[in-house]
Amino acid sequence: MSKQTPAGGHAGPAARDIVLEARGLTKHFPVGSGVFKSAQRVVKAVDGIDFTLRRREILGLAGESGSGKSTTGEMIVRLIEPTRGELLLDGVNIATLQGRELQQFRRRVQMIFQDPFGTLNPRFTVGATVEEPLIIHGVRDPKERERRVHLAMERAELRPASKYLRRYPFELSGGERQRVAIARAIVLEPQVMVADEPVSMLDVSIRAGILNLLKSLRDEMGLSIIYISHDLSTIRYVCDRTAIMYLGKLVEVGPTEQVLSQPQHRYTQLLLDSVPVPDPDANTAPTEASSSEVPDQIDVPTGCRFAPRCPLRQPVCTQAEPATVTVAPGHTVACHLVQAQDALQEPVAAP
Amino acid sequence: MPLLEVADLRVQYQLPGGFLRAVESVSFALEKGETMGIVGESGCGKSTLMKALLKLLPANARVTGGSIRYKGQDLVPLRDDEMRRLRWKEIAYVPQSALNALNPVYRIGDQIAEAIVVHQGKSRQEAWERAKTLFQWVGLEAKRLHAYPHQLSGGMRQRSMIAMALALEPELLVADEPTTALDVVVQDRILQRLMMLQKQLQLSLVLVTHDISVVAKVCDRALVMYAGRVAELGSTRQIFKAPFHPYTIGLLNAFPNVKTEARELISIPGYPPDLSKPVQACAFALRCPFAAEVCHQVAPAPVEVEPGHVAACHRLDQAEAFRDAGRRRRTWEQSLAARSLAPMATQSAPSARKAVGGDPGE
Amino acid sequence: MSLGQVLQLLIRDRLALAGIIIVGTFVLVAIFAPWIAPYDPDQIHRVDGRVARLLPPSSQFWLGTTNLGRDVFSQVVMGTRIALEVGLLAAFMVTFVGTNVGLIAGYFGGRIDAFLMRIVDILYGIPFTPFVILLVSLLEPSIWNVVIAVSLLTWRTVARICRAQVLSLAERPFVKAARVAGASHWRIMYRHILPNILPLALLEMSFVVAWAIIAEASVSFIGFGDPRAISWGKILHSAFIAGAVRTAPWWVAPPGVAIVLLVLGVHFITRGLESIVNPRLRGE
Repeated sequence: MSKQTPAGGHAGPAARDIVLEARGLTKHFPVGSGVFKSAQRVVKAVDGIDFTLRRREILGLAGESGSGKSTTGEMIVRLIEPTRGELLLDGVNIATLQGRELQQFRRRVQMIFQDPFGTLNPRFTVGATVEEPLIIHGVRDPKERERRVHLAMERAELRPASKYLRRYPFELSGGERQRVAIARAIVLEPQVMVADEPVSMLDVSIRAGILNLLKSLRDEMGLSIIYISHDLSTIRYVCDRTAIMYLGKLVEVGPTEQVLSQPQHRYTQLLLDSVPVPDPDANTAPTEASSSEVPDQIDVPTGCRFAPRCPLRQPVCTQAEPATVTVAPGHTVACHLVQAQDALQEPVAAP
Repeated sequence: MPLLEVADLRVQYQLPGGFLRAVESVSFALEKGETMGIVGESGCGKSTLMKALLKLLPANARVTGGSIRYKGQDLVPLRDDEMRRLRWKEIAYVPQSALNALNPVYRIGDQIAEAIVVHQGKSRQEAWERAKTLFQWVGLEAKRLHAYPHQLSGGMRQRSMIAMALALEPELLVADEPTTALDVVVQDRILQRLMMLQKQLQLSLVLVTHDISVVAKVCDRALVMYAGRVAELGSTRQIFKAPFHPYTIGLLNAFPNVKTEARELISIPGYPPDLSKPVQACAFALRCPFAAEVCHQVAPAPVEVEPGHVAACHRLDQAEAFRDAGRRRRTWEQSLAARSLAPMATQSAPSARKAVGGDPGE
Repeated sequence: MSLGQVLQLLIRDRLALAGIIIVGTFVLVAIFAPWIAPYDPDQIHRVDGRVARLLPPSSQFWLGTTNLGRDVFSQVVMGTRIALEVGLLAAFMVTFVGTNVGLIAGYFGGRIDAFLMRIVDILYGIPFTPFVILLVSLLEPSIWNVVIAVSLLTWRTVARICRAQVLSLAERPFVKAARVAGASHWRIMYRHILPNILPLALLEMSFVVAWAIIAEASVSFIGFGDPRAISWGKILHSAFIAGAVRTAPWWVAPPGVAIVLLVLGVHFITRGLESIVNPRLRGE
């Protein structure tokens, strides 16, 4: 009997297919200094999200600024600690790891960042940058390190590796720097990589190279990647599954093709309509929504977060948070107005 | 007579080592009420071109040739004070980042009103009323006039920049990547608004951007720049449906389209050339998979391929075949730049790697 | 940027080049002082059986003699050593302490930062000369104590400046990447951040050299310096209390000119360094 988990994954035999699972992942940031603890205001950057990441899969995390996608990424690599919730890596909760276990965990989950010009230490050579994780994790034999650095550079398509090893970042282009960052991230042969807007600061004509590289890393290293972006166009190109985030919540999750061609949530639809398309004939009908601004993360509206901007909103939308329902295998939506395809429906979560 | 006519414009930067030819023989015309997108990647010269139009070039840059005719008058020889009379009243500018352009210690309404008072001699009250109207045009509530720049969101700031630019009812609006830093929904709104205003006010618009999707959405015509030169110029339909220049072909195939199923995206290996070392050849030759002998020897001049559509390439007759070949990733690995080891890494076919000793992954 | 490149750029700057020549000359004089000085600076000379008091410059005593018959030239030459020792020593100490404090405060933030910066603030309130006088009178008057006094109060500026730089660097992705890779705090501070603030720290250090030289001269001038050491300030002090300021310009001018020249030379180099360091910092 396979039971459907909230994020549209499956428990049971296929569960060992899942490398990372988030349950109720939450991050609240305190705002200002609350003299009285009860009056402490918080930014609910991420407010209880569930998702799964399978092996050999690229999961897209899409959303605008304020959606919480970068915060989620930083929690996954433990740059910041979750306020609540679990992050299961191969079944083990990493959200609360400390000390040596945390250090061990770091070999398995890595990250690449948006800014190619800040992502490398300007004083380190390429070789030193890529080698460092190995040194940190106790690979003592210099020959072994050399071998693995070369392997990582090869995989990042920096050829010939020997030519790059002694170079400094200022001698490299944006695309090359990003590849060095990728080499650094994969030198420990992690299971999961978080990619936070890895191409948005690169020239368009070289983005595809990096995106194709991510795909080949998935295929050849069996790497699972969480691809964070606000650009649905690149998400469509590179992600197997996509999760749409809005104000700290997941509003829609499913196979990319489905989510982007048959969006169920009004926000997904809004995003899709807003993305400019490189085709002068594409229909650019003005989109309807009462305001284009993403509201404040501090005073989050009760009920569905998207309700204030949703043209389809009903009274129930401002009263209760919508439950996540499954509309198709592996495709879930959090909206009061969407009917579940099968009878299975999660009880409404108390706000 | 076209509203704006640029003829054979050349702009150089003076560097410690020598000269950098940022803009080389650029010519285009803009009719009244038209929108033109100047598109290209970093270093292509579009920012320099735009600054030349507005006479906002830095101290070490000079226009070394050509003309910029606005309503028939050449702007190049104009002095600063003469240009100041044109700026804002006739030619207005929307910068990329409002934070850089707005004074943080004055309210937005004050800044707009002041411009109106100074340039049009209206009273403060009239100016403020006008500011309210402008805000209405750009879709902002009048109360926002009392805010300081840092109190507004990025989208609101950008709208207020547009309002400010429109304050003196210019005829030509030059916008520099006006929505690049904004979220996609906000960007869409602002672009829609800009298009609406453009029609209502009969504005002519020059939009400088690296994003061809924005050009496809907003502009009637497009100028594709590469290494300071015109690669291709035509209506957006002509450029998108029948591109002639290999760089344009490459660019179009490098942009993902969210509405269509993922086809193969290509990337163009190599780098733009060093503009301080001019060569006789076509600037794109090293990265061009279709380059022939002549391409490495002579720089092509723009040639009209159909009415209103020019492209600078020696092999225009092969354009159709190139368009076809340009869709495939392998094609782009044939250029000299891709094959030489010095520039960016090349892509090797995944199938080749899989054939060697099974699946190397986990 | 390598040392070679820095030197190349410095040499192109005319003033910096002048500075290098000036300071270089002083360094050579300091190194070869015992050979350059014709006499022992403490030696009391006799001419024609009488003490050679306050003799104007001559072929025997190039800069004349003091009121005790000592050769001014030899004194000034030997004094170069003290000036440079104090300058460099204080500079190193200040840079060492200031950089580390700035690094720790800027990286850890929070209470550690607040605590350290509170100390810096307090130190800013302490007036320099009275403090040095106090310290020197409590401890014995020696060169080391002057160096310590100077260092204790000047590291505050270096700390503040380094801390500011660290704060901005700590936000950069490469620091985050190092944390994600598992680097310890110390590794990040000393292997990642420090090399990036070093240019700035070295720039501050060159400021301190000039400042320390003047500080030592001032302290010695008012009589709180090391009585056994021959420093330029001490020479001025002796001339002053001998009442020879008006009557023996050959005694007063040389040490004064030496101080001004050395400090000027250091300033020129500092100016040159600043224009190299700052655009790089802004560019990074």
